[in-house]
Amino acid sequence: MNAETPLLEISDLYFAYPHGDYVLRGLNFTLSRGEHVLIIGDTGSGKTTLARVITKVGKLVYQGRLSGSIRVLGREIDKVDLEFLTRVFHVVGQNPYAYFTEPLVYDNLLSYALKCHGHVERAKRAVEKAVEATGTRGLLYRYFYELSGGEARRVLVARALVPDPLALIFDEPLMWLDDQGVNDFLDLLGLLKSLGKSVLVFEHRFLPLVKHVDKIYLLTGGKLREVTDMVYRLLRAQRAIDPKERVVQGKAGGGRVLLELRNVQYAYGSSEPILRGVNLEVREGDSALIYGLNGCGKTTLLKIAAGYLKPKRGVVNKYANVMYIPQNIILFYTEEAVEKEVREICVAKDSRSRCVEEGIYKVRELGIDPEVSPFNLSHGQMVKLAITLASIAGARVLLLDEPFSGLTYSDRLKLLDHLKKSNVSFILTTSTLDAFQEGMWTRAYKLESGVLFELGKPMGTAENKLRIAAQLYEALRSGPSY
Amino acid sequence: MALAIRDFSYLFTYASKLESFSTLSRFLVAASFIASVFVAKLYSSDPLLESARLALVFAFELLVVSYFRGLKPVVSALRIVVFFVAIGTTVLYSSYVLGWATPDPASIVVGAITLVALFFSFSLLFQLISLKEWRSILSSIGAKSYALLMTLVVPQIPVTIFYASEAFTTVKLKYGGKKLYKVIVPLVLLTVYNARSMFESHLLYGVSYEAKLTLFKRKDVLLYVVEAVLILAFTLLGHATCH
Repeated sequence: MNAETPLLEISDLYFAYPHGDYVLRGLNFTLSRGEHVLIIGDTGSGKTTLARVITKVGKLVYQGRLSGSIRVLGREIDKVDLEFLTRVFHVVGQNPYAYFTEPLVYDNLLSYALKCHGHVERAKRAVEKAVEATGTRGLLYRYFYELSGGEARRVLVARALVPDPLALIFDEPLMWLDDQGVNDFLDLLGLLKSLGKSVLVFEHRFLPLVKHVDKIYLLTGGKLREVTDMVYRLLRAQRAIDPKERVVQGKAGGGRVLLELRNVQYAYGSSEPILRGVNLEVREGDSALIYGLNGCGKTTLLKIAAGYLKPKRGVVNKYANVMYIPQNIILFYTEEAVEKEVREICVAKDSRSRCVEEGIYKVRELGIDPEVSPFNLSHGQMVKLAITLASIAGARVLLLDEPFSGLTYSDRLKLLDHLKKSNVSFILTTSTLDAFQEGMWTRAYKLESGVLFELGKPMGTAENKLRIAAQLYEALRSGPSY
Repeated sequence: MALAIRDFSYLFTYASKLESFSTLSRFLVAASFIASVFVAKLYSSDPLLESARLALVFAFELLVVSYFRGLKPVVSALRIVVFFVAIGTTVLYSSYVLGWATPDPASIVVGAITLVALFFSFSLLFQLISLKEWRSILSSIGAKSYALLMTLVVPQIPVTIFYASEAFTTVKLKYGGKKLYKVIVPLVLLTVYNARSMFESHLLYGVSYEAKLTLFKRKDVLLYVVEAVLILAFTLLGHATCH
């Protein structure tokens, strides 16, 4: 083994979960030392599976069927133990909270450092170095479940640096990150580059990352295809096609008022108010966007609008049924089959046979089999189904809490189209404007320091980015003939 | 409700301030509170003495926790008391209205206080002793697998409680305030997903079983004084009731 030996060489890799079809089909890939690689692909395309296979988890935990060759630093993966593997690769998974074994962040880092280095003083030095590099000192004495998704991920990167691995694998690192969190992550990539670490990023929200990696691959049909040049070519072409469009808001809904918040103030316990004098009105036909960074109070605002939290000051007037759809969409579902979801909604509405019949019809229109479990649907389908179920329940106003998290650009666009067709008024919150659909919103707001500002027209320099991103992604998927 | 659920999660976490006391003294304090609840329950001659002793234990528990952890867990604990008393009152009035045999109000109060004091005492095992100390204690007595189990479960309790708070909001609005019990389905599923991720993480990165267990630190005297006062007050209460 010499310095030229690639960190990872995969050739003709096939992998299938027990009783399932092959997810990876003849995949080839090489990761060199110090190289930063981005792998994009649909939800369910096999990105997480590839990460599991590289770390042996696919075989050891999931008992999957595997063939082909995986070489780590020139050694066949079957011939190396987990300790060797974790000294080469460190994974920062999709669910950052699953990696904490102690409630306090510092204890978590120290405990892991002790396991890696075996000596208290050496462990403390390793933690100090990792904390310094990642700028996580301010988080050390907080409980991990109090951290935002972005903060938790930064702590995990610090933890990943403790054993000083050669490469880091990030599985959907931008999920749950707001615009500030994305910038922090990009800074982190810069830091890892300067430290000479290799990086493998699996992410479908690729626009912010494109300029920060050396190579881009598309995972489709179980194989990897390098698309670096194509992405740059398409980005240049899209800029030429789309003039600098300004975001023009649509015409505000002129119908009757369905929901109004007047001078709402809210604080958790005795802490500083998270909302101050918020005024918001939703009329028939309205589609309102609320943009704000993580922790700014978007979810609190939606829960107050839904009537679940009572404002400390001000009033909330509801003139129609309101439904809240959480960011963690799994929490919306309670039944083992979609059909039963429809039935239960209809029972709660006190309207049975016709409601169920129409509901099932609407579900089929979405391309969803009513017999399947809602928990087996893709993330995008789950969000769309929740919107449909809410309309079956008679909701006239939907409160969607960050529905874009975990969706590809194409799925985001489809979701907005579905909302448009659903004929309901809605408020949608987002913490990122990296892909923003113009012309969709009758009202757009920014929530900052507890104050809700209505954004004027035009809205900054935001372009019609979501459509561009979705077109770009579809072009990549359709192949190199573009 | 959602806020109460969130605050409840603080009953399963410890503070680094605890490290100025020895492991042994903290363990003894938690164990003595649990023992006191059982003694109050089993060796009190009448319900009045029993409730007085239980209230005394609970008051001391709150005192110790507020010293170590601040007011947040204390507020959570008081909310639990209100919750259980509310359940008892509901049962009492429902029985009265429906013409059923009405439970004795005193027994409802005693039952509620017993439940709260016992629950809070057991939670002290996690509030006063850190997980790394538990891992070290359990692995040194040959119960390494239980230590691992505890490591995988306890840190996830607050996360699951946060999920529960979110699920309550959603299901309440979805079914118009009915069928709140249905939150159990998504919660179980999320817990399974979490367990799987944690298993993967543990397989790759493991946990450390090393922790410095201490038998005495100067500040321990404070804890032992509190324990002595509790025992004294406990005994005096017994004498006062006898006479």
